[in-house]
Amino acid sequence: MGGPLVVVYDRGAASGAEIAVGLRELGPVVFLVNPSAHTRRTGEVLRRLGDVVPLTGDRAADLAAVRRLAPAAVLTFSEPMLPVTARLADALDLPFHSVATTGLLTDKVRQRERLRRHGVDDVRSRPLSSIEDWPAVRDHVGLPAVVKPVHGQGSRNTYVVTDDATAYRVLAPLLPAGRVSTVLVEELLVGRPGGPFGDYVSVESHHGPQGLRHLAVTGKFPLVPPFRETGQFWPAAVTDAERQEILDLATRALTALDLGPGLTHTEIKLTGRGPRIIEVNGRLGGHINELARHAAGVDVVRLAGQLALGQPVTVPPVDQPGKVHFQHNTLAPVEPCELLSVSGAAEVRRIDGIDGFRAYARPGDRFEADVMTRHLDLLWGHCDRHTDLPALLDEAQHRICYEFRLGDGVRRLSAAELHRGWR
Amino acid sequence: MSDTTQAMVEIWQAHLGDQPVGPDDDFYALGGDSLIALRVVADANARGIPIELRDLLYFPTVSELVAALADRDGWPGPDGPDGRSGPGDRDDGGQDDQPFGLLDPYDRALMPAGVCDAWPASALQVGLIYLTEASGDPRLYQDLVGVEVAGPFDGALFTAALAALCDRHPALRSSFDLGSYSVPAQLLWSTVEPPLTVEHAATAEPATRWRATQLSQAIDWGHPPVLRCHVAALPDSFHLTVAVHHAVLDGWSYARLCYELLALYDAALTGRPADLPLPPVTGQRDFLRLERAALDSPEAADYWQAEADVPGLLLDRGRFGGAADPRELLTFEIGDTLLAGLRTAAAAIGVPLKSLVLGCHVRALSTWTGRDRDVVTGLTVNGRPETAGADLLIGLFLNTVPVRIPVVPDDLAELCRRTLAAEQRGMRHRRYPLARIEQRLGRPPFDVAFNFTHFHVYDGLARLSAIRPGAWWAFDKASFPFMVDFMIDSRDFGTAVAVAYDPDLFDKAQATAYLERYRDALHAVAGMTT
Repeated sequence: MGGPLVVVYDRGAASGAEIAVGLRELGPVVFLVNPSAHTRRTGEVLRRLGDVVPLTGDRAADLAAVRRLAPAAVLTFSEPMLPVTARLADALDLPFHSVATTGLLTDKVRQRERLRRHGVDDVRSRPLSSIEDWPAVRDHVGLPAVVKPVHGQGSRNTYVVTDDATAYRVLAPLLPAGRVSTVLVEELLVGRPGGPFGDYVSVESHHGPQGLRHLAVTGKFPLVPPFRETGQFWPAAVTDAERQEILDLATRALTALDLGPGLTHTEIKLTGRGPRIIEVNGRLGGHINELARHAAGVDVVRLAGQLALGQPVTVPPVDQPGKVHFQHNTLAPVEPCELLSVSGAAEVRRIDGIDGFRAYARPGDRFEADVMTRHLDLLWGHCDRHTDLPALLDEAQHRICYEFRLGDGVRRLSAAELHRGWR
Repeated sequence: MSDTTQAMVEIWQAHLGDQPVGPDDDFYALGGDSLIALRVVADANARGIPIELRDLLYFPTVSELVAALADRDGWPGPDGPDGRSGPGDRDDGGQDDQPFGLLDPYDRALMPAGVCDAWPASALQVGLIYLTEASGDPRLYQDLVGVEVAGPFDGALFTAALAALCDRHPALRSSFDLGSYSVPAQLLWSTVEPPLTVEHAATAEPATRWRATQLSQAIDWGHPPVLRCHVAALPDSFHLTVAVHHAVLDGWSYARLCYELLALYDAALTGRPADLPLPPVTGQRDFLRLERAALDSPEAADYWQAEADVPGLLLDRGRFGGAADPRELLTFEIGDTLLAGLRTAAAAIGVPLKSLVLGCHVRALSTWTGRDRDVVTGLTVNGRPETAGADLLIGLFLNTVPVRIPVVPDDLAELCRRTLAAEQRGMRHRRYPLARIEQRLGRPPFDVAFNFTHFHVYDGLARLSAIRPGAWWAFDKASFPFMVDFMIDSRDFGTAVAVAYDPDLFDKAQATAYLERYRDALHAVAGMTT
């Protein structure tokens, strides 16, 4: 009898429920829970799905607690939990990315540096710790540029800077005088025209005893400015040649990072010069497990569990041509508001090709002003061809209606209007 | 659509915004998430549908969920044994439910005359008998209950009441044979001589003497009936004592037995019908099927192995292995104020009273042993089949299983919640026999066991009119080295905690130290100071 699978848990790419379902046949699950608003809210659920052990932040105590569990595996689906997980796996001699590799996966400055040294990609980038150094960094990187956090995930706190004035406005709160902080400044990768679809993709891969394998190239719906993500689909709408280029680039990037066993999620921009690395993440991609279960009946959480146990895995690519499977999110308004009602859920579920609709936001939820990705819902479904997708989405988005109280009164907005930016 | 399906559809509808729900709709696709799932599970449990959160996650449509339920435990549906998906509807059910249906035909051919039915003895029954024999201690697993009853004693009417009781419950007409058949068997006899001894006296002395004599000799479990009754009849009252081997019945059944015997006798005296509902006929067979399913479940075996496979809490595993001799007893009374405080705290924390006092027990164990990780306690659990009227069955439907709390938090409320969660996780495997857990582990899976009892069936005694039960007395002896009983309204102690321990393994100071810590934890959770 092996010990439990210890999942270092906080908000991440897989929910407690997905983890419990995915790992259920591999062994008992212990959630090593980082204290946060998310885990306070979901604690009751986690406790019913496995044992819950709190993470205290005291490294020695946490290690001792995990050691007593005699785990068969340690893994995580949460980006901020990668360093803790790597340290635990290292101390317990369990399969995971090494501590050094985890440093490369979570520190985008060091990641860029490593990729450059290995000749994988030459995106111009520089760390910036003081506003005074902006001119030098600008001269190296060029304009337009992107300012983003060194650590972190998704599009949070990512800004496009087109001139010095914008740069100083963006950087002032990010690099406050008297505090040590660093941001990453990189050249803005300009995408090639993508038609109705986004100019970037992600590659879902796994690395285990049999080496590196790619599960899928994930197509994306267009970003809403500045970097708000609105959904994804399989297979990506790329030509066979482009797909091969994308996979080759991902292979070179992942090989350069000395990966341990586990999943990766590599974001790639499709530019006029060919695919370029946006960033490599050492974990499952957001919503990818749900997509894989719907599209191919493959549980990627289970796959992660097997890899963490050191088991060999065989999974065919899950982004098979012949049917398009998609997920789409409605973005919350960027201005402060309160959600009053959601309607149309039952109607949208009746549309041929729509497989499910789940509202994340509940009436009474309040939203602060924020221009970053903030999803109100998740809609998923399928169709035969990529060309069918825009019409199907449009129909669905017109059925879903949100009612908000805004600064100037109450407004009913369809998902389609919210998507377009209704002002 | 079956009743269970219909009920689940209604529950989903109530929690998913009153939209149309079909049995094949996916919970998540309809907008469900795990917090909504918690409410669905609570509602389903309230309607008697035994699902857990993970069931809903693993089986996200009503059809899958209901099918999974039907496959499990022989659960008969919320309407009891007559439900459409019950064990009686299984393809092999008709055969199994015939007399001797669970035994090999060769065994049946060897049955002595007078045996009307037989079935394999359960793992726990075999285990208890084995321990009794191996210990050489005649008191071990011999359960005695005595009561002083105000009112007339009529020998003929009382004998008739005892005979009626034995008619109602096959277990009271049973004996065990562990060697003659291909499996250890419990034999049910068509009739038994009512096992009653009556002594007329001026004092209760004969009762005291009979109890002492009874405890000095082991109960012969090989000859029917394994039940013995003694009455010391005084002019206006009588002292009744019942002795049974624990392999025949559990504590709840014992309470049922005492209540029914007195109710039948009261009815005979008054000439009114006793109005006792009949227990379900397939009860023991259902239990055996459930135990068999648990035994066949590798998931259950792995679950308990994982739950118990941590360093022992107290005892040197090299030195101690077999049956202990818990002959010393310490108790403390809970009192109405503390009990009320505990009930209020349980409601505020959102856990049943049982989990609250179990959580306090875990806290006491933790401070007593200086361990805040991997605290394991045994917990006595009820394995009765979930059929209507299962509470009317007299038999042995218990198990004691390890419950592990990986980390004992400082916050007592949080500890109680974790304890409840740990109990719930083990629920589906609760019928996997303790002996098997111990066998695989190579040692007893816990040093300390905990039992929570509230035998409210005794409340019915207040309705008797011709007789009035007064003071109660009881004796029982298990083989756990350290057994903690939290009793609500018990006949002999009232609402109290009793600790039975083996003085060869624990000294009195140690046992007292535990008891004080337990009392402190109970007061603390109730917001009271000691």
